[in-house]
Formats: sequence, structure tokens, C-alpha cells
Amino acid sequence: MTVALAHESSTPVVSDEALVQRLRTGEAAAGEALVKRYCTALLRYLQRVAGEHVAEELHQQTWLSVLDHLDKFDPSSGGGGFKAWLFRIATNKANDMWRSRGREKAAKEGLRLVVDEEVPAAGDRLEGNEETDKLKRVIAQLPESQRQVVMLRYYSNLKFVEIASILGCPLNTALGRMHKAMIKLKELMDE
Amino acid sequence: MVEELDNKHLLLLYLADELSPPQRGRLERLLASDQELRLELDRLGAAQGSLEAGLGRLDELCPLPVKADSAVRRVARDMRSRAIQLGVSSRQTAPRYNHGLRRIAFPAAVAASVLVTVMVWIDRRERAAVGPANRRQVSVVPSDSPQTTDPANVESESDFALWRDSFQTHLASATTTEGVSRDEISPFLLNANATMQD
Repeated sequence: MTVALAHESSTPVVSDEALVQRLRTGEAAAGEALVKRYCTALLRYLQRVAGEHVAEELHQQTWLSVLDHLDKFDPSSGGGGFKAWLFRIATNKANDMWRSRGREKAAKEGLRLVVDEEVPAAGDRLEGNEETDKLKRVIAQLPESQRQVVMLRYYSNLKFVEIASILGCPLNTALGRMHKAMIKLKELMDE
Repeated sequence: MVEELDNKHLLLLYLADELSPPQRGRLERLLASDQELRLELDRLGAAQGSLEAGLGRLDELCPLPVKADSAVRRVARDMRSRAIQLGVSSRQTAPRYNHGLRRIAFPAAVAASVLVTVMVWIDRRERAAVGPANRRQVSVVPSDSPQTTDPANVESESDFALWRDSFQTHLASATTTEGVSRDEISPFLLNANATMQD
């Protein structure tokens, strides 16, 4: 699965780690560059795993958490570097939200958000819309753990080893969730 | 770790191009001999293609929950204020050394005060241990006497009597109460006393 992040369309002149280093010294412009680099991918990821209404709030919380814990980020520790660390924080924020809302309520709301609120404006409706609406419903039916693996893979483009690390599970488990999600999505889409 | 994975999981890594060349070679040899595994690979490849196409289509049709520029501006605004705090806190790191000095300054002052007090106390104790016999200078001056100190200079009879009484009183006090021997009284006073005795 290959998905190009916004920042990957052109080779970044300055590495994430260099920007983080500059941000640590109080250079806000370096932080702004990082936010721009990951804004679209991170917002899309949060939109898909947490819902339309909370995506922006979680996006902001994620970046504030990045700032709060900037000293703890160790580029030499491996595991995907800054991008993996960023998506780990975002995933934790989404999980916190799910826990605080209550899993059942959030599941219903998430389904409603994904199915009802992501419907584009009438002017934007194209011929293939029925298929995309169906895909929204199918995605909403995935268990949260499977949806996270699929969305992390698609929007962050991280390796499966790094995704497993983000989710705190063995590689085998992450691949199992991905496999089940893909088979289920394919079956539901073919119905 | 990869060696312990199921073949279907290895297929996912194969599609993601995350296998090392030797692992990839082994799986391709296995695929060449296992038709069922090849079918599974085709099925996963199709599912992956369908998912990618579908999500891509979703992203095209559904706008972001907020415009990217707005989201960046909002975060950047918070980031600037936080970054200023980061800069301030990093600048405040150096003066912490002075705070450390301040922390030890008060105890050091207290310790110095105690030390000085103890030294003064020891000194006074040593002085107190020195007996009256070792005292070297005692001046006995009759305060009630006239300004004239030489009895020969006392003009009137009454003045001389006053001077004598006063001197004897002080002499008695000096020799008994304060333990001053007669030897320690200045020769002038002894002479004066002798004169009066006469």
C-alpha cells in the first residue's frame, strides 16, 4: 500500500529531526513547518478514526502534546522517527477521546459522523458517490483496532513494524488486524 | 521475528515491500510452488487496490474537517506562545545556579553565626577561669573625693576628712569584696593611706 503524504511529494529540504531541534530552542517557525508538513495526513487520519467533529480538536491537542513532550522525543531511538512519534500521540489522543466518551456511544456517534456528516455538498456529488458512501459505511463497521491499523498504514505510510510499535502490539497482531480488515472490506465492497 | 509470521502475514509485508531480499526470495520460491498462496496474494492485492482507490476517492470528495491553512494557523498561534515559553524556560536554566547559591547562603550564615557565638562563649569561659589573683590592674578611684588627688593639696580640714573617708571606704571594698591585695594598689594610694593612718 503506497500513499503519498503531502510532504512526500517533494523531498523535504530540512529533516523532521532538524526542525524538532530548532523548535526545542524556541524557534516557532520550525514548529510551523512541521505542522504544515503533516497537517493534511494527520487531519485525515483523525477524521477517519475519531470522526469529523473532533478531528480538528484532536489535531490541535496532538501538536500541543508534541510541544509539551518535546524533550522526551529521541530521534536516535529509532522506530520511525518524528512521524511515528507524532502519529503515536495522535492515536493516543483518539483513544483517550474514545475512552472518555464511552466506547458504545462513541461507536454510534462515529458511525453517524462517518456516514452522515462526511457526505459532500450536492454540487460535489459525482457519479462514483454511491461507491464512496458504501466505503464509508464499510469502514465504520470495522472494529476500532482494525480501523486504526488500516488508517495508520494509509495516511502515515509507516512500516508495519512501526505501526505495531505505535499501537503497542506485536507485529503479528498488527498484520492480523490488517489482513482481517482488508478481507472484510473487500467482501463488503463486493456485496 | 519475520520468520515466525504466518504466510498470509508475510504476504502483506511482501505487498508493502517490507521484506529483506533473502526473505523476499524465499517467499517467491514458495509462491512458485504453492498455488493456494498465490491466490491469497491475488486476493490481498485486489483488496489493497480497492481500499486505496476507495480512500483516495473519499479524500477527493470529502473536504477536510477544517481547511489545512486554518488548522496550521491555529496550531502555529498556540505554538508561538508555547515556543516563547520554551525559550524563556531555556533562558531561565542558567540562573538556577544563583538560586543554588541563595539556598546555601542562609544556612552558611547561620552556621557562621553559631561558630562566632561558640568562639565568644569559649573565650569568655577562659577569661572567667582566670582567678582574681591573676588580675593585673585595678584602679581604685574615690569618686566622692575632691578633684585634687594629692592629700597635700587639700586645703581645708573638712575636705581632707571627706577625702580620707571616701578613700578608706573604697580601699576596704577593693581589698575585701573584689579580692584585691594591697600590693596591687598603686603606690600613690598606699602612701596616701599611710599618711592618713599617721
